[in-house]
Amino acid sequence: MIRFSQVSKRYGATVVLDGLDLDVGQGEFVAVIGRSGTGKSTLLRIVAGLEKPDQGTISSPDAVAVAFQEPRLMPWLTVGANVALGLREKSRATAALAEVGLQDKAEAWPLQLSGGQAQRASLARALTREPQVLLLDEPFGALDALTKLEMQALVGRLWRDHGWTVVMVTHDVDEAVRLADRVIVLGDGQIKLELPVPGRGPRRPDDPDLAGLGQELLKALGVTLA
Amino acid sequence: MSSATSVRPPAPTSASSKASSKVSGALLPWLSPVAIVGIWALASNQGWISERTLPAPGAVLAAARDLTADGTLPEALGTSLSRVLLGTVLGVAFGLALGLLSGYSRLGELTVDRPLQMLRAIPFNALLPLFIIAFGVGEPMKVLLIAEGVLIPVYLNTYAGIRNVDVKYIELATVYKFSRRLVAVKILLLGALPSILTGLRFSLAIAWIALVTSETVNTTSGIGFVLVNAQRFVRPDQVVLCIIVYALLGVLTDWLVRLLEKRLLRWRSGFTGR
Repeated sequence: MIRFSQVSKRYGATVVLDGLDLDVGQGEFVAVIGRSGTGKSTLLRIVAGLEKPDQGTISSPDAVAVAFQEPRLMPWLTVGANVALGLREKSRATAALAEVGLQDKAEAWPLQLSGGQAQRASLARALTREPQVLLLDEPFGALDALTKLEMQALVGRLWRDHGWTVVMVTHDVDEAVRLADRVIVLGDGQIKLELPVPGRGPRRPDDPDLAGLGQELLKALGVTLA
Repeated sequence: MSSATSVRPPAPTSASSKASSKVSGALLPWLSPVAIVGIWALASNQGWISERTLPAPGAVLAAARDLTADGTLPEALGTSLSRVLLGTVLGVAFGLALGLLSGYSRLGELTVDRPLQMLRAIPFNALLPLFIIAFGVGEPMKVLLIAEGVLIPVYLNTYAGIRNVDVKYIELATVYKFSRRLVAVKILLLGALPSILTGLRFSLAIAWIALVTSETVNTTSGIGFVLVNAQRFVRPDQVVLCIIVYALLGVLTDWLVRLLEKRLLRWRSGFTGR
């Protein structure tokens, strides 16, 4: 579905991606983790068509939707208008808002929404585009712990229902193992570790198998636990 | 006093006090203008100011009554208002179009921004002789002079407002393949609207100045004509009346734009002062 071959990207003297190879299969949920500045977001922006690689090739489908860390709702349009923006059939927006549990917020202004609600609206907008690939760029990074758990469950459910291919960039190791089929650790512009996660997401946050995986990932990230 | 207030049922009290505070909120800004007129009346009454320099408020009111009765003032008002309206519509339309052009495209910026920045540096009364030569002393000259004055702030604020729209929304438009029209209207113009409305308020202030400038030369109608006539016939009461009419019209148009802002910028939750 998505294929990176020998992709390199640099900003000035900084090499962000250095001959990266990556395959993401149809319907697969891949989480990408890594320390700040390891090119996670660049990888995502390349798939979204917002950046061009300096070297290498990438193939990915046209129908891509993105949920960014900031929901990017235009404050001057109502929530419903934001979700429907650019759509021919506006009724799809109503259905999508209902699917994320925001059916009564269509007439609200984005500034009246809580962080979690705004992120739901952003997901609803992604839904209406009927994408093949959904890209998530640290979508829950700014949310409180409880809302975050709810949103993870929502994304997991939507992924199952719609059969999307998902690439999610995150800082959160627990989030990665909870949702993904495969977790990739980026470092020095390449894949440092690839870890399949058994079972199918969304998993329960207190699943005992996840703790071991999480620790392995943290080790690969160079985090030492006391 | 305290017993009287405690007898009142609480609910209607809070409702009526809310309503009355709304009224007083709307009237409060008029307190200082009323005070100025009061001081003016007192100064005239006491003979501190000569009637020849500044006639008393009563004399100005009498002039207003006379000029309204003989139809001079209503007719002049109508003429002036239609000039301002026409000039403003023209200026806003061109200012928006040019601002969108140079805000949206680099080529557009390269083409129109420098000439307009140069035009901005020219005081419009310096343009007056040229406009008279080019368009004569009739209506087109007046309307175009107002339009030119209006165009500049609308252009500048549209352009600046568009360039202030967060690039994040443009990225979103790229990902979701929004059409250019959609980006121009729903993202750039609507995003620039707060700035555009600020520009409009500057513009309307300039429109009235441009009106006075154009009406005080070779004119046979409008408030400016009444003003020039009053000066010629040494009628300080009518002179002051015209000045006050200009002031009220300025406040009125500013109020209209504020109303427009309230309606169009409902989505904002900005700081409103403490």
